[in-house]
Amino acid sequence: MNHEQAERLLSARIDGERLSTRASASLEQHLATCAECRAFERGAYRLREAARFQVAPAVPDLVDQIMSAVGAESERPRSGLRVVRLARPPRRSILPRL
Amino acid sequence: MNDPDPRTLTRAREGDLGAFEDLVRQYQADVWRFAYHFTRDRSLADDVTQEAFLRAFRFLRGFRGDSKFTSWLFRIARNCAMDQIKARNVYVERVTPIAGTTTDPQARVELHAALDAVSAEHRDPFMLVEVFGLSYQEAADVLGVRVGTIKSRMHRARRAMMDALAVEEEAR
Repeated sequence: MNHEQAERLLSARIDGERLSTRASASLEQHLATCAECRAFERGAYRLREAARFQVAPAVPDLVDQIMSAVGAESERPRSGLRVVRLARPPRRSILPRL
Repeated sequence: MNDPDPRTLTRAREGDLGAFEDLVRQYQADVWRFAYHFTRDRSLADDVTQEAFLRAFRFLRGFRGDSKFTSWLFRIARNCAMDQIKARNVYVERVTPIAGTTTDPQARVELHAALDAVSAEHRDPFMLVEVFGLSYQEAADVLGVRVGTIKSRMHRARRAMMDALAVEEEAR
């Protein structure tokens, strides 16, 4: 197993993806002797911690604004087309009256 | 993120505005944070959030449940964000870290520098999976790609970010 393969498997494992028994065993075998890949795993967890614990921006409350727009949308007619019914003359028989 | 109550979703699909408002209340904050991560602009995030829910209202009747509702909603939000960015011809400056405190301010600055070093193609799945906690399948549904592509991009994002941080370390 090379570094690229090991890193891809590590990345997937970190994200909770299940590895096959064989892939898992190969990965553990590689990690036992590869400091670079062990460093990749540590780095990935550090990135996760930094990403998940970054300060979130203050979220505005837009519910009223959104529902006002949705309400206006719901009052619009579904189709932009106007259906105009033409007045038809009564049907006349083409057969002569007997 | 939790799934919506199935009864609320059904009623919203049938046009019940009260039920739709329940969905808005449940997901508005998440959609806004998602929009903000994309645009890094509060005003744009407001517009994206409103437009995303408007589109969701218009197309909810056609939501068949092939994906999770949250994936569907985030996909709409991402499309809205892309449209807004294109429409305003905005170049999103990604160098300023978000103000605030963490236990390690230096780590916070480094993360944003690392995110800036990654292309949007790799940054988006990283944000969806690491920050918003989506599974690979959910992220794939949002971005309209295969799960294998998400797997590959997550690996490349981590590698690129670590390489960028290593460069930062060397530069000190």
